[in-house]
Amino acid sequence: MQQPVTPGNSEAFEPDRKLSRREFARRTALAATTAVVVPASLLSQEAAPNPAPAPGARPQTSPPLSPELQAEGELKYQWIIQNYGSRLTDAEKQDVHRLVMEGQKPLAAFRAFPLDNPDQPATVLKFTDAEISGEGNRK
Amino acid sequence: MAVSEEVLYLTVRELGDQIRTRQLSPVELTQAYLDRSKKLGPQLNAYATLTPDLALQQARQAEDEISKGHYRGPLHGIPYAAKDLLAVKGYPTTWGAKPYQNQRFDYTATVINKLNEAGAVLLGKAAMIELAGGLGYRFAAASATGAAKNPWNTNCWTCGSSSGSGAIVASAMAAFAIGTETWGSIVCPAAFCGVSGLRPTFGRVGRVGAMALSYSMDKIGPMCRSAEDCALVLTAVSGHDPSDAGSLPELQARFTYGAPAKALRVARIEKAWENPDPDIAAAFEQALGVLQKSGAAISSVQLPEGPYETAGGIVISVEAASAYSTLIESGGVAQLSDPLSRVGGYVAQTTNSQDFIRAQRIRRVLQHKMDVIFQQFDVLVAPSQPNAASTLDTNLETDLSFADPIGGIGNLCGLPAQSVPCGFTKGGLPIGIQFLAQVLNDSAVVATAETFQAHTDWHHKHPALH
Repeated sequence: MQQPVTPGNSEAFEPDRKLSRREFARRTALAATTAVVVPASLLSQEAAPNPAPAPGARPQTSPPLSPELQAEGELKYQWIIQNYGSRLTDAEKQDVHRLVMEGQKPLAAFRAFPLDNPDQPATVLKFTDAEISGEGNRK
Repeated sequence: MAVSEEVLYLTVRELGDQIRTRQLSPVELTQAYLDRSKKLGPQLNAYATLTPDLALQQARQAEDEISKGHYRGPLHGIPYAAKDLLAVKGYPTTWGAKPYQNQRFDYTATVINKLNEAGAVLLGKAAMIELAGGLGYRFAAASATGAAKNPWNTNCWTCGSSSGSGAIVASAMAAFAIGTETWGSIVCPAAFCGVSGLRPTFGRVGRVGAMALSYSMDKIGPMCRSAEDCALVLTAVSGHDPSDAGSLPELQARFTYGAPAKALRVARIEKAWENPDPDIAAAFEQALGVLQKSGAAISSVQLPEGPYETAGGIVISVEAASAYSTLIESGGVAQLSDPLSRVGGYVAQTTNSQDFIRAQRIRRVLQHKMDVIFQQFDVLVAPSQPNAASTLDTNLETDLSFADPIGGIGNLCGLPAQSVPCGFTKGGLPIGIQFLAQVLNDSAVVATAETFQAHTDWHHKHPALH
């Protein structure tokens, strides 16, 4: 079933406006999430660094991550370290950890967005019938 | 005969009229743009490569054809620059990135071929943010050619990723440029540089020969000195590209600009930006006044709220991680210029497949929500950006961070957008206004912008360069 399509309606989730960022490019790094299956043995291989705030960084106003999202973020970080850790400096590891955790922040709202079983993915971007139907009188 | 700076700042339409009537020589015009590009290009870090031999050969051919009465159309003999992610056979195509400094292709991008057919003259490849920012970036200097400098204030940035394209058009180093946008890469440089930029409907311009960042969000579009010029260029480069899986069928891909038969329904986007610069807010209100005086009835609308920016970020993240997988997995990312680019790919690779599909399903829901809005309105309007050009050393991640629901929704849904200049800050930096419309309604954004430019002269202002 399709969701209600009233413009500007309020959804039963927290909008991510406060968490989003300006540059699409930066989003590509910050919006990343993971559910990579990481062997439990890996979890103790390297502790997550304690990232220092970047110079000039704004105080974080976002709510703290849930324990589940925090744990998921740590798994992601460990996956990166397992695969690429030898290439990264300590500072880069701190950066990666911070980026992963930043990317976790909008996921609660994202995953709470109501979808129903028939809501299909636009895996290849195709336009809706309404988008296409008006084409003839737009030229 | 020497070509004056005033001529170099003419629009494509104006230059074309002079070329068609043989008042202006394509060869002399090309040489003048090349001379200016050689002088100003290095100062602004605007070009990756100049192609003078090719340019002069194309210009001589145009001049010869026109002298024999074979005039191809409004781009015939018009010099332009192309973002350096578009392949030109035999010339470097670096994607703005050090790992690809020696990359050359044995074919030419569809969009360049179309411009060749239109008789346009390629002056060179415009500098860009490395990989179009596909792996993230933190600083304006995220490019193999260094930070592109804004012609209005060389201590400021052009925005990215079509950074050189913005600088080149703003400083009259070419009559127009080709840029690309996945999220903001035409609209933002157009706003920061005070030029007119058109992000076409997804699928209108073929992408064969263009670097892929996000297969379902990459668009190619013109950056010019007027909205009318953007329409002229889009007319030439649009059309079905059989080897591009995202290309629309010819009937839909082909753009033919025509003024709307009836008055367009325009709506300002409420709360488009959370904290816009006061100068920008004031300029925007004045711009709305201009539109109203020109006959537009302006309503207001709120964009649907939802995790659309997150969804867009996830789509880009996954597609970029796949597009650049070889570079990421080989460790080649270590050669990139920006500290975020060097690690962003590793983070992007960890995206959850369920989240990716969820993002695509949310995208579909959003398309339907936008359908409802576009049943009521033809064009939505907002400031192009909430701030003017940032300084070259700004940390974009920490010091220039804000929500962008218009860019998120517009790009996730493949909607066309046109940004045109609408004023200046007290510090003399350009301000842009953007128009957004339903898929395939590119004519509406052009028409609204053209109406605005018919009543203003912001697009005729030039930076002082020496």
